[in-house]
Amino acid sequence: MSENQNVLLKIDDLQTTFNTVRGSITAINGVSFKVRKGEVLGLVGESGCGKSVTAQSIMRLYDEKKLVSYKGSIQFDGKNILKLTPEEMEKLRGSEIAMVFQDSLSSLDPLFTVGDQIAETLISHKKIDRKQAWKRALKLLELTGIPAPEQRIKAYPHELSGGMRQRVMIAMALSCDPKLLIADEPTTALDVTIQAQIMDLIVDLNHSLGMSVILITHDLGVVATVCQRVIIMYLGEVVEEGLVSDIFNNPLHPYTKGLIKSIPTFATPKNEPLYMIRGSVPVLNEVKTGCRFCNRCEQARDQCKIETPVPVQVNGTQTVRCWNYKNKQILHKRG
Amino acid sequence: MNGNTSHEVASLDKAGIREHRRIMLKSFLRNKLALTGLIILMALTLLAIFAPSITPVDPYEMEVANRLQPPSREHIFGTDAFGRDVFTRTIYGLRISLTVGILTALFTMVAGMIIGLLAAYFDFLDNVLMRLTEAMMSIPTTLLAIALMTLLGATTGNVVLSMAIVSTPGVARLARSTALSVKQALYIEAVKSQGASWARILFKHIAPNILSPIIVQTTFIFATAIITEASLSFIGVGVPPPIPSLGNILYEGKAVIYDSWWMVTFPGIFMILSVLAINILGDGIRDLLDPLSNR
Repeated sequence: MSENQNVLLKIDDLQTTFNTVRGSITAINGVSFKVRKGEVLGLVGESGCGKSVTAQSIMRLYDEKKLVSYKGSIQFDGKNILKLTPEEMEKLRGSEIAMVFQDSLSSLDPLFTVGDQIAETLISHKKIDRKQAWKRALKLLELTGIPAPEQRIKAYPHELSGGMRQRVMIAMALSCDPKLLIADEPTTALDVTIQAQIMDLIVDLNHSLGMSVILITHDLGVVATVCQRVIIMYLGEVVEEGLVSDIFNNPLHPYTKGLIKSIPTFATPKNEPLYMIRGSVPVLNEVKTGCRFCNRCEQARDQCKIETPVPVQVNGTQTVRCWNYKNKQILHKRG
Repeated sequence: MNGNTSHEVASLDKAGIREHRRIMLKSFLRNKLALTGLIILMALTLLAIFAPSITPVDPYEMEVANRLQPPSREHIFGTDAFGRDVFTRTIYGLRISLTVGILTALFTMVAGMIIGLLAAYFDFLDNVLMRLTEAMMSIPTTLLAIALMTLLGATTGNVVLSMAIVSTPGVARLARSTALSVKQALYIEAVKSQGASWARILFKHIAPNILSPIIVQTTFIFATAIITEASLSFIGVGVPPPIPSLGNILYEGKAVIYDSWWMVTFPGIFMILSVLAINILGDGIRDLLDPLSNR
């Protein structure tokens, strides 16, 4: 089973439920996917569809005593993450799975220099002394291409620009050579040129260090250039999964088609309003039976309102969760 | 080459810190009121520290023949009912009062922060600890301090202990509320995602981030402790006589207040000065640490 040896992370029927005062809400409902070794996997969907919750569930960052309960399994490198003790989880976080957050200013402790913060992770995971940790921190900052790393290492987070802080976050995430990097919208708070630089950096590091990356984003343009495979999520479910070429050339789920059609291109007529998927993501506790997308779907049939669709393997690489994906009625070619 | 660069970094960093300190110092010096507070407090502290060199007289030495003398060249603050020098007793009293105040403030700060941090981080401790502090706060502080003193016995150490116990709940609640908001900060989650243990998150990352309001609160507790100590001594459950504390001297002066005004006036002035100085210094520190207050 060479296929299984290649898999680093395998999520099976993950269900993440938040127990709130007003009842419980299942934010992630039966998500399954795999991350192969060395690949960049895109996780795409609009706000509130459960991308970040998926990431946080993999890291188990939520308060498990009160707030959240998990079902299913997350197999990482042969162990089920959901079965680990809090101490084992602490060891895993930062050393084997690392995360880069969206807002780099609030992700760094304002009271410590960036060198201190990178070194802290190293000291706790690698059992090395402070001096060695600082040396390694300097190397890491150099690796991320930060200008004048010898000076930046002694800087406080507020003294750095957004792009530099994001590089620091990446250096921190890389500090213990993780096998998996989860980048949760790493470029959202940055301007376009810096975005491109940070994306290039992540791809470079993916190539040179061979770690797997889960890239959470809502920018399909980034996905097209960076990722090998894509997962499209909608309302806590995976609606479509496939290679980048599958998703862009042959989108099957009406939601994916809508997303791709929404990207403006030069061919888009100037005077016409841009395409948009009508409606907005419904509130999670209003979810009924049937397809979760059916009230916004342009090709919904009666069946969609009653029966919940199951994922269908269309070809070797592509899976879709839709009753009538064969329906070509909706335009999927752009322009 | 590596050693060279790290040397450069170190010097650059030191220059940066010096610059930052210079700016902080400058904006503090611009605050004339806080500066006055600091100068008065420093003068009083020096007076208290060097009390034995400033006055050669023993604060316990009695000259019964010279009892209740008004201020003169020999006894600039006069003498008390036992013929002891009031100036000597006042600055020795200041020594006791300031020490008791500082120790109480420090003890309160440490205990309050530990309780507050634990309550903020662990839900199961939160209810227990906060109901306990509320229960303690529902009893008037001076009454509780008196009760504790009667229970523990009147020694200087117990004065510190009972005042610290009385003022800890307030600091604990302040620490908890500030820690609760810091706990939600994204950088705490980021630290957690790096594999930090609860102790490291709590004491290395949350504690330093809640320090500013705690420091300000601690200065006010310092001032309050001086007054509370005086109240306790005044009603006879504080620092045991014949040890001079500002409260003790006032208590002894009460009996002869109509004949010997000097016995309450001078220690009273010293007490007011020290409390006032600490309070305006605390205000100054708050303005300095709070970026929203106008400088």
